[in-house]
Amino acid sequence: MRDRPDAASLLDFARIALLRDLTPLLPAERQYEATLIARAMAVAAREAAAGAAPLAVCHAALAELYGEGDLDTLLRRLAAAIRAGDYDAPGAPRDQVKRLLWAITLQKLSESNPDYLAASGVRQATQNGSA
Amino acid sequence: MALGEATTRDRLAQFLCGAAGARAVEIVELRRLSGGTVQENWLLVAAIEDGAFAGRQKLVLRTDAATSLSMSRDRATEFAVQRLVHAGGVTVPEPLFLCRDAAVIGKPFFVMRWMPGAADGQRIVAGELGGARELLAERLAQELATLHKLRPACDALAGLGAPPADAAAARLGLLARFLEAHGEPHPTAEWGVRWLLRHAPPPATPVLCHGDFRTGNYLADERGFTALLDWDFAGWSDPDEDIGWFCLGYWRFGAYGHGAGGLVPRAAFHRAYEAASGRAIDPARARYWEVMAALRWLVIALEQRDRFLRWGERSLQLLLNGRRPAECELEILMLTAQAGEAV
Repeated sequence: MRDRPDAASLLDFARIALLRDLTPLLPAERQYEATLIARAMAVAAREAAAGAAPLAVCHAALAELYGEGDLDTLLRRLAAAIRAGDYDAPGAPRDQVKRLLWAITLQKLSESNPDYLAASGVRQATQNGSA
Repeated sequence: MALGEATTRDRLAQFLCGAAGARAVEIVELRRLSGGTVQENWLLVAAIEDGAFAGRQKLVLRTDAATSLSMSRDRATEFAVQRLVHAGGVTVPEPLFLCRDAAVIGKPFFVMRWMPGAADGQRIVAGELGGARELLAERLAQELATLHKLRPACDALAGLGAPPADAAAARLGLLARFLEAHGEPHPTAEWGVRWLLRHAPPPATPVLCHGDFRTGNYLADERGFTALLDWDFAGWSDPDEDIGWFCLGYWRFGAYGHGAGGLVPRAAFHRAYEAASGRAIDPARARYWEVMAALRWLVIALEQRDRFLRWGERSLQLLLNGRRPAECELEILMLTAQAGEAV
């Protein structure tokens, strides 16, 4: 049980108060720090709003490749297999892994830097590996 | 032994007195300048009596931050590089005095002349600083060409080690070993490693490279470029490494559509560099080094984050870099997809 507002709303409101009300009162050489704090809060707010769903999607895609296991173990297995050259050759396994890497990257960026994602012009279409 | 302490300032004044051949030196102003997570830069205004530097001198003192990066040079090596490129016609703040003695301020440092301008990438790519972006990009290309045309003797820069026979293999080896030893899975970075291994171009003759040539690392004022900064990543490499690094998406400061430093399209920068250097740029090689740049910034971002998480250097900027790999991973996936999938 939790009372409202939720984590994302709290962080959003606190960030706006920091940027709008407090930052202009700081000496010029300390204002950059305030923008860093605001950036940290923005990332945390987007992560809180997204919840656990993106990790579950990633976990399911990894389980399709390697079977059951915890997320960290499966990610390690993927990284090791790529390093070993297991997905160098063209074909369905390579395409499947490429799609997964795109999905992971887009999900991470949508939380950590959605502006960069938008500026890059990457569309959802790239998720199916057509890029 | 903080630089702000009176006893440290006294020792610094004494050092400057000896180094400048002066009768007396008074430190008029000493304050830390913004920016610099790997190095600290301090504005240093000194009143110098007699000697070659007599008068009121506006200087910058450069020293290590609390912890360092594996790829970063020590101050003595950076000083030697900056002296050499200054003499060779690259526009940099003139380095004046090197102090290796940690007893003066607690760590080695060097002192260079202050130069006007700011390194604010966002204002530069927005056209608020640095004058016309086309002219700024052209000037930067000329500075880079001047650097790459220098042919210093390797023993004049012993701190840089021997030039690698294959700069791409050497760089990739370092990055791949870091990832393998890091203890956390980075599958998209590993994807980049494989692509770089399988698409390596024939080695080029290594030249002296800046190593961190990008928007944010040069000074500009209202009229244009004033100085190239931050030589702590300098080394022997393929000249296209500097070009790929300059073009990396992250260093466009939001002006993503301008592929070269957020200023102009890549092709315009290549043309200006070709005109100044007499060396043609192969776009495929430049792209190869841009993928390498993405992988390298990813590794540096992880190293910076680790300075906070593992080594306890409490800097929010370092901590936030823990979320930077995603931009690099996007660049790796986009650039390698554009380059085609041919094995």
